Amino acid sequence: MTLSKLLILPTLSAAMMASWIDSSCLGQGWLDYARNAQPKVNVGAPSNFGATNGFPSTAVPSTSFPSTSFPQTTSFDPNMTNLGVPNNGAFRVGPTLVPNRKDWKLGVFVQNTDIGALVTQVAPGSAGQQAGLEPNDVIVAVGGSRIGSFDNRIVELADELRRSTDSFGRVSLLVLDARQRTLQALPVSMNTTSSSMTGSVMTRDRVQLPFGAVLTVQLQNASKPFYEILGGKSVTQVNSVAPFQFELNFDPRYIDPRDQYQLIAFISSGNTELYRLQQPIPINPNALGQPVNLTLERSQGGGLVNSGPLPNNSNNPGNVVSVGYPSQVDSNAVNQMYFKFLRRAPSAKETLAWNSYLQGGNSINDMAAKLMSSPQFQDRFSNESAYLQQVIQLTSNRVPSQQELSFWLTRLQATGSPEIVIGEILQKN
Amino acid sequence: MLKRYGKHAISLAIVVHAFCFTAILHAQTQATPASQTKPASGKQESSPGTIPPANVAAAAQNELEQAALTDLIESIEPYFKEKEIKGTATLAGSSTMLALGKSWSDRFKKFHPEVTFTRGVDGTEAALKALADDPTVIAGVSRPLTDEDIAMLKSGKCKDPLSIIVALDPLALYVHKDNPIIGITPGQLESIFRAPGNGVMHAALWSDVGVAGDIAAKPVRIHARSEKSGTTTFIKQMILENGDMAMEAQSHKTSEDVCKAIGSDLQGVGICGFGEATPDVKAVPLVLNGARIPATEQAFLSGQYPFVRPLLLIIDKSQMATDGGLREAMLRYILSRDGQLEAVRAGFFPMDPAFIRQELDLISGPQMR
Repeated sequence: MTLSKLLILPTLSAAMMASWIDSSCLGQGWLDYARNAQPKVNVGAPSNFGATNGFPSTAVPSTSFPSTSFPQTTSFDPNMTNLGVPNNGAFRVGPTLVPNRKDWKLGVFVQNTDIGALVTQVAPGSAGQQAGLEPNDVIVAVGGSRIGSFDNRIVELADELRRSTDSFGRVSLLVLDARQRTLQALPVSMNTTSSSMTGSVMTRDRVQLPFGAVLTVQLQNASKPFYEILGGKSVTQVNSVAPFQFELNFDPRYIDPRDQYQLIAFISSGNTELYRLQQPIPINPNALGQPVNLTLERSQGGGLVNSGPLPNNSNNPGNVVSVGYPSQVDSNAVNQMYFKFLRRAPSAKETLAWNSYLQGGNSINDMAAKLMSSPQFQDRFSNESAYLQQVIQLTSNRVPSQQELSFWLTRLQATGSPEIVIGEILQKN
Repeated sequence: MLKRYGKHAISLAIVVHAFCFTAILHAQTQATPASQTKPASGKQESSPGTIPPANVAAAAQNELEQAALTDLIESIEPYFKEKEIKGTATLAGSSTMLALGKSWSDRFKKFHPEVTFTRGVDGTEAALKALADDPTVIAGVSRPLTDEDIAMLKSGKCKDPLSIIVALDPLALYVHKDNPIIGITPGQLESIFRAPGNGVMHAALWSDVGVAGDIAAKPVRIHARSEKSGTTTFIKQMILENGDMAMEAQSHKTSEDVCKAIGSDLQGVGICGFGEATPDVKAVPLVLNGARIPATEQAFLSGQYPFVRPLLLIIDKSQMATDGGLREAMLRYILSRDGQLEAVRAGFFPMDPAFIRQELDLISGPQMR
């Protein structure tokens, strides 16, 4: 069965990597996987978030404000009919809970094997060394979850540490001791290199939030919007009425003291934005440890950022861009662009990827240019002429003359780069 | 700390070999089993501003998928700029990889404005040849490397080739939407595409692959792209072990044309990109040990539907000592959160975070956990 060729155990064991696995275990691994596969992080079930990890929920509900003062007429419109932007209903995306956890380090180097993570080296002074880990020990499980490479998949030590460690850095390992050849439960107290930023969030009108509302707080590099900060974003469920607490555990290596930073925050329900910080709060990179108190305003029909029809010559000048608020409008814009250029709805991962792109300070025009130069768009045309004709038609809504077409064809052949030519076409039109 | 590229680094032959296709299988630990999901990119009929009740379940499903996806993406670390980098590199490769490479280098240059990428030769074979002649070239290849490729590189000037899977291109088997087929085993799949010959199981009729009804006695008609296309090469390599492929009923210029043609041919069958499905075709679930695995986004992400073409970058590892960190940083960027999202934006699939960690161990030396 040649499909078995597709299956090579992703293990670092050289012997195993070099050999194809027997076809008899081909389906077995997948079936086992299908039986065992569970989302490791219970992101889909917010009520469990926190409790399962011993990680304190950052959302602190308050009961000090009456909720009855919220009149029916101003209820949040879950269908977004009041945004002035057509929702073509192809795909709806709301922010998904992102647990913000510290980056705990055990201080070991490992190789994945089928029985666990084989320790190859232990950093001096690390939590792993203090707990007694030595080279050739095998970490079999973390917090009760098996790790290593098995069932045609890898379960990474680093990922399991991230998931299973409590807020004090404690986690329990199951270790196969190399010397004594015994299995031992090993409680470990780890260190973190994460920096913490905490604060509270108030809403101006203090009405009761609908069930399932989430608070997003994000630390952004305002000078370089594309430079995402590890651990710089938290998305947590918030209940009842403000104030709410938040905690960011970011990696300080991602902070450049020469850059400007800012904090954005908003509360949303489904993909409707309910509250937002009117202006991003500038944050001095040298004062990142100080607590921050934020007051959010009611959103006025959602924030229209980075959206609208395809305009001409509206490319962002250089790197000086303002960071956009993520909002439901972005996913609609992404939808519209997909129907326009690729004649289909974007998939979940594509929506996510483009939202991230637009939030990183890129315009819808940038997105258009990227889509048109992508292999999936180019693949639809049998020759360069047909391709360019479609590009011009889509960007200018008219059929190009033969002369125009041959001009751009020459440009395409001269530059060899669709991206460059599309940029030029966008500028010309 | 371990010395970089020390004795713990894995020998290259294994790397180059085994990383082809390993990515497919590491099941994405966070993903939902495919059997419980529906295709995310299917057409959903709904009037503006409302969710019809029938779609509520689909919306909930989408939310669940979104949660699994977010967890996947959040598990991939954002790019970390360790130091300033200067330098020039030439990227040669398949047209797919040239386009993707351009996207990556544009994003990478935002972090490192003093890096310049130049466009090298077009085509997988030409790019490998270019790397063999000039080890400073970075080759982008949209098919797994063969033993011959590695031998060719080593016999040239690329003495220490390192191959890194940088993104995945999912493919699926498509038939006309009215074809009653409910699934296909790997053996049946092979029999469709293998050319008839001595002792070869070749499925000439639909009944040969277990399809009943009106279509059973009718010939299987293969739609494919030209001999040279990446997809056809992939079919030959991975399904036929470089054997001969059965004659196609019709050859097409683009992958989209293949899908369209299948949509208008009741007896048609073919392999095209997962994203290129039209409403007139359906993806055939794979049957593995009796379990049907539908071709859905989640099934691809979780590695359950293993029909994935790997996209690779190949470098001469010895260049990494002298290029001021350019190759290492570029590969780290590509395997970063934004690098993988960039692959998604170009129409490809991101990789499993656990697999990415293993690749990073190869690129930057073992990383501390």
